Amino acid sequence: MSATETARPTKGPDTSRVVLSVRDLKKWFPIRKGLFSRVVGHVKAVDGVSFDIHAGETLGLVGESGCGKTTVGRTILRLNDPVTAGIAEFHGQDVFELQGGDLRALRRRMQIIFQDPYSSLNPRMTVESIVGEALTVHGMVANKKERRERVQDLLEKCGLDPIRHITRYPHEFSGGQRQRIGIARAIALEPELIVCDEPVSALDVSIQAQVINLLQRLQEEMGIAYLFIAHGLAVVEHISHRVAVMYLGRIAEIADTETLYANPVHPYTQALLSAIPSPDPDAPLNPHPLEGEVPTPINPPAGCRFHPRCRFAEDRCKSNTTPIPIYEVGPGHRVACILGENVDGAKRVGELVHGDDETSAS
Amino acid sequence: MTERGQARLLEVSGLQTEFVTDDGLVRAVDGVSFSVDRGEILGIVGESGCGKSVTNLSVMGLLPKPQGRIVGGSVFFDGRDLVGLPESELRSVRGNRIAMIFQDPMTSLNPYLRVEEQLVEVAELHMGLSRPEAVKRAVELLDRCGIPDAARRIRGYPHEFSGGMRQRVMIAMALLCDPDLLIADEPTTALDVTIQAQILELIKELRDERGMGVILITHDLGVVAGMCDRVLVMYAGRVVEEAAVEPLFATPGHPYTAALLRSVPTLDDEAHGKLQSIAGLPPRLDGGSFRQCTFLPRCALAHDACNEGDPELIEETPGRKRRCILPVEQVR
Ligand SMILES: Nc1ncnc2c1ncn2[C@@H]1O[C@H](COP(=O)(O)OP(=O)(O)OP(=O)(O)O)[C@@H](O)[C@H]1O
Ligand SMILES: Nc1ncnc2c1ncn2[C@@H]1O[C@H](COP(=O)(O)OP(=O)(O)OP(=O)(O)O)[C@@H](O)[C@H]1O
Ligand code: SF4
Ligand SMILES: [Mg+2]
Ligand SMILES: [Mg+2]
Repeated sequence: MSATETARPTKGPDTSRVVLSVRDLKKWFPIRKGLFSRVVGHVKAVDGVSFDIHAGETLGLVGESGCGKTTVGRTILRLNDPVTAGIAEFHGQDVFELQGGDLRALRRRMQIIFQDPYSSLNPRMTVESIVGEALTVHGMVANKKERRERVQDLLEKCGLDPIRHITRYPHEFSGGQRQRIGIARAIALEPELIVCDEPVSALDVSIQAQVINLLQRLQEEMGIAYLFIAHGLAVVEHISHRVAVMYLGRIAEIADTETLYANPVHPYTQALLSAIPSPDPDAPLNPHPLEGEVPTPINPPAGCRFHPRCRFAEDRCKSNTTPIPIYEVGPGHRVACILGENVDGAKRVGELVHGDDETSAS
Repeated sequence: MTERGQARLLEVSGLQTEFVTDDGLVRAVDGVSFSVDRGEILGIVGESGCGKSVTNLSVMGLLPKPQGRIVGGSVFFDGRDLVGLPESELRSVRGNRIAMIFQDPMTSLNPYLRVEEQLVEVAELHMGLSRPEAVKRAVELLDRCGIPDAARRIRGYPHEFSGGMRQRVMIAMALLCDPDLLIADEPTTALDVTIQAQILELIKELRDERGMGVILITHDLGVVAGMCDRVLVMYAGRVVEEAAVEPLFATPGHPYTAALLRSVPTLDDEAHGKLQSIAGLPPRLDGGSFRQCTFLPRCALAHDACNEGDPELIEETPGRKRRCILPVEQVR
């Protein structure tokens, strides 16, 4: 990949084809205590999340550490069974109802690049087996020779040395190199959707650029859709067509990328945008830090979950008696905040449901 | 404040580290020298695989055995060479005076033990605290690292923590024993900007309060700009540039540094355009000597003279070293 190569025009997402449609997804982890492992509460990691992803589209998912991003990704891929509530339709079929062979087929069409490049690679397998295993399992290569060629091709695409690296084991690689092995594995099966869980945060900037360019090229060539999880807003802006901002298990705001960055409505989105470190030694590290503590998803605040840290919070934000409205403030631009009402042409399209539904959780 | 001895806190000279692998030798670190003073934050940057982690694992005496070994150079910590020290003495230096935040969170976390046990053990062992004191200190540090509801969450297992929370547990563990030198290997990669800022502030505070020296390995040049006093730029197992942070950003002295600075995505980049990357792969590190500049095949500014041998690392102005034959004004 050359730095001088000019940008190819992106075909862009096919908005007529929804690949994944998630509605009211909840994943609560039970907290157990004592001799009989009695359930004494729940970590409400994901608590009512909805979004769509179209063919060839990248949806960025950002938010503070612990807000539930990984849990969204893993739950959709059935790596966090059982789901607490909600549906996730992949090409119209609810993934939570799939079993056996159907589930295996889904796993081919939906892949994940794991956040932690260390524990997700089997230490006893060579790179060739790690990347090539699924190719054999799903009958995508005829023989060993073909498999090797295919793996070498994938390694090269990901900026690894196709000859020297193929026989090595994961511990013989640096952190960034391991991350790229995980990427090679995920794209090997040419899936339709990849959950990319912080795929570039362990990489240096130049390799970051290489990997993002690679993901974008694969998307153009194969129409892959990405759920792109990251905390670096700059990177998300670059790769995403739309961005969803998550706070404590819920989506605070979702919009196409340009709109979200130019006209953020939710105070949390605004705070995140102002907190990007700049590569300038004179700039302060964080000009507008978020005030206050990150609350826990065990006992999330009543009302708007962001209210204890919000500069604009009013009384109606602070209790469960008035639900927090969801406004559509522009085409495809939704925000779960009372401030939505001040935007010209805003339409109230729903509300965040409060209440202690502790009993309904499995 | 710690006592200020005569010797530098850390002085690494000519460090060489090799791995024996199935298909030959890998010289991951090839003659690296640098120093860290008390109260100083040294940044190390460079492309993935250039030897940042191996350099610091060598300093800590934590290379994987038997494949990895130091084959040359010295690592003076507070006046004493750590290379060749018996394991028992190294362990006490590591536990009490040098702490490392590993790039791989699971290196320092045991998946089968509650976080509380792991933190308290460190505090009891190395600081001689009683159990209740140790718990108190552990909770306090988790809290300062931004773990909400720390007193309750400390009783969980590592897999119950999110990626970024695990990273913060590691940071707390490294800071528990009040180290003189903190080596932080990509400490904030899994953290969002707000928590990142909080952790970096905490590290700065400890530097200011206690004169802790810090080596900060990061690929985030924004973090380097905001945190570091000096920066070491590594390429293919060697140092290609060393400078104070301002001049490095203002006038990079090596084409590799210049290219790194260019590949930072910024908020006003054209969306969906191609990001700048540095084309090509770094050279193989098989221990052979280089007859030309190691960066030449990827260098946009290369000319004939770059073929005539690998440039030395030269200190042109005090505190500023670089490994490139071009005059600094021509580096872009
Ligand atoms: N297996 C589990 N058991 C209990 N709690 C869990 C489990 N997995 C995640 N959690 C909790 O759920 C919450 C959300 O975690 P998640 O990993 O989804 O966060 P994240 O947004 O990906 O954060 P990060 O950016 O740090 O990776 C956290 O409070 C975490 O501790
Ligand atoms: N155990 C090992 N056996 C063989 N080679 C190794 C081993 N550990 C590291 N290496 C090699 O040594 C080189 C330096 O690795 P190191 O982990 O120091 O890179 P790094 O600069 O920290 O990169 P990153 O930014 O990706 O973490 C790499 O090319 C890596 O493949
Ligand atoms: S709903 Fe109220 S508390 Fe929540 S973000 Fe909007 S103004 Fe702030
Ligand atoms: Mg995560
Ligand atoms: Mg490393």
